[in-house]
Amino acid sequence: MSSHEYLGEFEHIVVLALLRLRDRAYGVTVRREIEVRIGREVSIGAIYATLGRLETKGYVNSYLGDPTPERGGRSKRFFRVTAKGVAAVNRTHRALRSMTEGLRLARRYSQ
Amino acid sequence: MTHVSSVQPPRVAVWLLDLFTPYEQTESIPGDLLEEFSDIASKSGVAYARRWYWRQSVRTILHVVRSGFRVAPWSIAGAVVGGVLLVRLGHAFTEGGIRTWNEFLSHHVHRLSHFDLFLMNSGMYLWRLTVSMLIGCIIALACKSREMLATLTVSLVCSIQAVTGFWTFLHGTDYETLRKALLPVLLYSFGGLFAIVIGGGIVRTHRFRSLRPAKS
Repeated sequence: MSSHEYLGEFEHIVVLALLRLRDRAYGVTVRREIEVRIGREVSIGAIYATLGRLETKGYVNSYLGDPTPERGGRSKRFFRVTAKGVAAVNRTHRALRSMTEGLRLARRYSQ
Repeated sequence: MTHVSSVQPPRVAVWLLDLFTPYEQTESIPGDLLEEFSDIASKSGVAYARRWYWRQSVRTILHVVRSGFRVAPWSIAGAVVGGVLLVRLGHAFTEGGIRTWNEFLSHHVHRLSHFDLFLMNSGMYLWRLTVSMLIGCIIALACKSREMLATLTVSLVCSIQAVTGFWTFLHGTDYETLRKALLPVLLYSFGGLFAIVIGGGIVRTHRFRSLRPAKS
């Protein structure tokens, strides 16, 4: 895996949601956070597919909580961003900042 | 509130989701959906929550299928190639066997029993369905956690041959024969494809049930 790899668009959004939610980050809260903040309804399958990819890359790790009755006796899978994941977010932000620096996006695309 | 918490999500959607969810997510995905379903049902009503559950389930299954191809392309490709070969060999052998048996019966047995007649008329269909289902089970056993994806892909690949055969039959047959033979030919051509997927579903359901009590 390249050390200069950037996060994809949805990966970026999911990692930022995990960072916001801290120790409350699992499928339901991540989905709601994305829906509330950017108004995009995403499926729980899309969230888990992305989290699985991020976990394979070593950007997040996960652990199972206790089973709860409102979930039909199933456990929550909580996710945490690793140091490598935080580095990837910073790298992606730096790259985006460099690319947008000097561009007058608001004026150019509002015409 | 008690009323809402006792409301269950659509059974078919839950069943489909259980068939496709990877083993490592059998706790999290259905649990998350159930939690949100109960919440939405209490806020927006049961009918809305059921529609939401269906929409989420279908989109989740599509994502699982897509990521399955991305995560394990070679194991899926291997299962498909092996599966298609098994289907061809299995059908060729069993159909050859049934034909030989029918010829033997018609030449050497003078008084055929009802069972013999039933086998002569329907044996080929039944064998084709049984062999297809067994092949579906074998493919599913070889593809742990992606049983449905593998059997569906094998079924889709085999459907190309089935559609071609059916098209040839439609164009080379007069109306009267077509009217009489349409249903048996449809069953013969496409029944096996469904049986492959059903075989995959049987293995998946069995595995899923043996997995659930151990974790909960």
